[in-house]
Amino acid sequence: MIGESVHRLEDPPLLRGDARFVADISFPNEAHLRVVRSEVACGEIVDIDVSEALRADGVVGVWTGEDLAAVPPIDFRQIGYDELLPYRQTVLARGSVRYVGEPVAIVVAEDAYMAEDIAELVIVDIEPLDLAPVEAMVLEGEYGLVDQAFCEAHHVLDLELTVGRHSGIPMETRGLIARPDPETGRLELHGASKVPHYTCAAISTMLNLDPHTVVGRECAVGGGFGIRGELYPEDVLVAWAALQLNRPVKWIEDRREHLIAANHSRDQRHRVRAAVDQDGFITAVDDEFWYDQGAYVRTHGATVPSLTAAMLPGPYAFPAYRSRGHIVLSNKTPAGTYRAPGRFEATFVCERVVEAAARAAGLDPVSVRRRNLIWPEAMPFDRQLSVLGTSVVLDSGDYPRILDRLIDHIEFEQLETDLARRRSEGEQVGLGIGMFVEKSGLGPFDDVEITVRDDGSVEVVTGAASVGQGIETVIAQICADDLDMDYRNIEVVHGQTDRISRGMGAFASRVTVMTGSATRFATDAVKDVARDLAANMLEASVEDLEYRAGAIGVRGQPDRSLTLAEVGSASGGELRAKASFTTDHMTYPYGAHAVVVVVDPHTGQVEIERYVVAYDVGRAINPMLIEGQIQGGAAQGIGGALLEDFLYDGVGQPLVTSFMDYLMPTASETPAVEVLLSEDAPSPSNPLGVKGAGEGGTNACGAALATAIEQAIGRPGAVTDLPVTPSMIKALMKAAPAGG
Amino acid sequence: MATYCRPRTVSEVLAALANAEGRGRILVGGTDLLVHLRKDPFAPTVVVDIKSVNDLPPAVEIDDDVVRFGPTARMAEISGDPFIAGHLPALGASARVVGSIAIRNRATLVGNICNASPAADTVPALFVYGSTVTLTGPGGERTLPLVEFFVGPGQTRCGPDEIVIRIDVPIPDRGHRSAFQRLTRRRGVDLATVSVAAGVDADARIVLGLGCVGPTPLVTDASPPVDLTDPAAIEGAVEELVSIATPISDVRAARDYREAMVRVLAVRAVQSATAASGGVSS
Repeated sequence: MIGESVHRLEDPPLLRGDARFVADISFPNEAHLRVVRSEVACGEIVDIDVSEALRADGVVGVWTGEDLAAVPPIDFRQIGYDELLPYRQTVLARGSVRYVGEPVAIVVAEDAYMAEDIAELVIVDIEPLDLAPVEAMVLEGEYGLVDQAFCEAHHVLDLELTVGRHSGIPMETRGLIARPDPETGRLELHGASKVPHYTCAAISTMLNLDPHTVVGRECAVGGGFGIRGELYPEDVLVAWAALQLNRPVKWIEDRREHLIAANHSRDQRHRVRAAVDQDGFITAVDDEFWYDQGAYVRTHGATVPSLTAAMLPGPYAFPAYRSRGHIVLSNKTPAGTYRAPGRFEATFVCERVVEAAARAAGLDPVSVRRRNLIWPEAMPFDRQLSVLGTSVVLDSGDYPRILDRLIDHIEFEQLETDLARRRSEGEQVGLGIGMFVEKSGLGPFDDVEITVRDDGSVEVVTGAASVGQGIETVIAQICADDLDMDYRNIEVVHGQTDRISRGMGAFASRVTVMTGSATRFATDAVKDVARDLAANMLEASVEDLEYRAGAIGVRGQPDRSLTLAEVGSASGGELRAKASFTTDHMTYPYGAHAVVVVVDPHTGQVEIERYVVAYDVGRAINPMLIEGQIQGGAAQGIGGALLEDFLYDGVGQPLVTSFMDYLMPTASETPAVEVLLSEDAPSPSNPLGVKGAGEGGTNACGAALATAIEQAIGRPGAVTDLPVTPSMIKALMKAAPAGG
Repeated sequence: MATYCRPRTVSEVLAALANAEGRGRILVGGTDLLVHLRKDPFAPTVVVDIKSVNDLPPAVEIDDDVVRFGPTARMAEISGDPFIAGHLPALGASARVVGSIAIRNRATLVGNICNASPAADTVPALFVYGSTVTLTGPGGERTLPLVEFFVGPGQTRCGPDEIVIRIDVPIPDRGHRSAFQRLTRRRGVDLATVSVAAGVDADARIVLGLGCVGPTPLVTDASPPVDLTDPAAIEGAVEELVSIATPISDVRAARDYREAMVRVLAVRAVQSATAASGGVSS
């Protein structure tokens, strides 16, 4: 069962149109919330006049920041530093605004159309101020003798690199319905996703509620990508309004709101120096970078720049490394994590350095990579860096082998020959390779509760969440493999906070590792419980019992057995067991991208001719789902490398507020990705050997495409900024070729 | 907030516009109007839906020497019409890239010109065929060359009490060839970075219609006859013609990139026009 590309259990309701997303859910007497947002990027609130709005037909209530003065700012879920505390966001602006899109008031009305119209009657008077970027703190990390390495270096590289501002754009925008249940005294949050337990706990804290009375109800989710499902101001506002009104309150975000109010990500500028010896061995990397956090620090705290700092060395040994990451608050939409957060940027920087090192040393970049990779014998490899409360210990990996797998698959030498011939015939064609290390399986825990029902079917209750990744299928496969039964007889419950007392949700490619491992332990536990109970019933000693496909039998006597359901009902109930998986360390999948591009010599437009991703995930539970993750992840990485960018004008007005200008790649721009899945290096840190698979498709897109494009146009080292646009490529083509 | 009306006759349409005191707008497909209805400071107070008007000219009417497009001619009909593909290939090609399939099923040719975007996909092609536009209003009908219709971004010579009743596109003589080229960041569902329609007459004179390189779509004068077998001659002629372009920088592209691309696309459009079907467009 494990390792089989079985069909997804999630799909039938989705394909039939029966799945219910948050906008599909309604309750009697529900009211609708609309957020009034700042149209000024930086300014003092002079006055908010709600009088006309309060007189409008259908209005239920209008509130401003003053009304919510008792509600504290949204706290950090991850990596909070004291220096960042002053920059947390209150759920409505108080006194001043810091970005276009910042919530300044809420309108609740009888229907969504009225709410939108009434919101336009709220008159917000803001005195604009000059934009005020401020550096909140510097993250520092270092190991080895960096300065000495530069003194002894044969070549010193010095690069300035930038990555634009992108975000995950789920097909389903955000939304929430808060429903006070007068019968139970509970507040139900329908549409809580990604981290439902955290969301409920945080809202209960912020609104002074008994934590047990706030219940998260995940429904079908149209994408997450790290950004959707975090605790945002709107979630708290919806809950607050529902309690004020004692009626259900619904909020569904529109696309413009999503593009200016949901988390952005990336947006880093790096100045990286590297010391290289004469053989192309990189002896030190010294990276200083500036991360544009946007207007406030949200739930992720310093997660993104911390990940950049900790993961930048990637698969390479770099004996010395220093990172200084400046967290800069600006007047843009606040930023958080987005698929391969901090790593898309870090891998771009790292691979730019490796390519430059190869040029400096006059060697080919593949052999320079090989020379710098961490050897498999060095695993587990302590990076001497830490992030997310864990020290970075690369648990397992055979990095040279994944490079070989990629090189073999693309028939590298033949391909290089072909490309050289095509270039000599006038075509602008190039190959780029990018290697990367991902991180996954963030702890500290996950719980699973298994019940065998009377009909023999199995329920698995988890504290994880679905972001569309296929959790029901994968967890069912793991459970079915252990219990030797049909995975379609296993129901996986997730995202329901009243079904399990704690849970971590779905982020950081953690669910298969954490929830999957807890499932493995829980199935062991259920077998143990069944054996103990069956021993009496079968009048045999526990040692003589064995597990056989959903039943406990006596060894050597095929006709003496009881099914799990029979054991349960004979013991006066259903068979149950519970288990936890805990860990202090993450697992580190790794891989390599290769891309072939053709650049139009006249227009600078990039056509991707071929895209290959090799990825080692330790052990693949469902290869089809992993291939889907990689294909989709690559689409997003390609978008960030070539198309997507949230641009602002000089006074902080967002220039990209619709799909007219935020250019997501379509099916026409997204190649079919060739996926090479490998299982060379199972993780030693969990019972399944698995590593997460959600982000490797995105990670190295910028790195690989940059190299491919500059090879195509014959300007090695020229690509320094992502996204690389046709305008930029034409400008690079006009510039004189670089010396090396 | 705007009121909505759905008159039955052209005279009722004109009456509704007159009553709107300059704040009436015509609705057919709505693919531009509805998007901006709430955000525009000059948003209409009256939306006049003309889809039930029974005395409008037909959507597409093909005569001996002219193709007439009424206000309800949709992009999907134009892009799929074999006569247009054969005789007005640049127009057919430009209608084929507007928005998406869903947009083309609603968006109209007349709406495309009335929206007066500098990036209007179909206008460069309409220019190279020497199209005219006919308006009707309280003072009766008037016809003007389409090139005179545009004033600036979003602004036309259609008065607040008038409606565009027809676009007439003369069918070129045998021997006239034309083609359309558009540059976008993405292949589908995108606005043009630059667009060019090229018309080449039987005497090898080139006329270019240009999109996204000025406050309105632009049309060049006709070049002197060009040796179409000589790429350098085509490039030289194009270089002269496109000097009227005055692009700006925006989120899609920088000004100098647009200046370079209008040349690239113009050459491609001329080459594509002259390469097609051995130069015979019928």
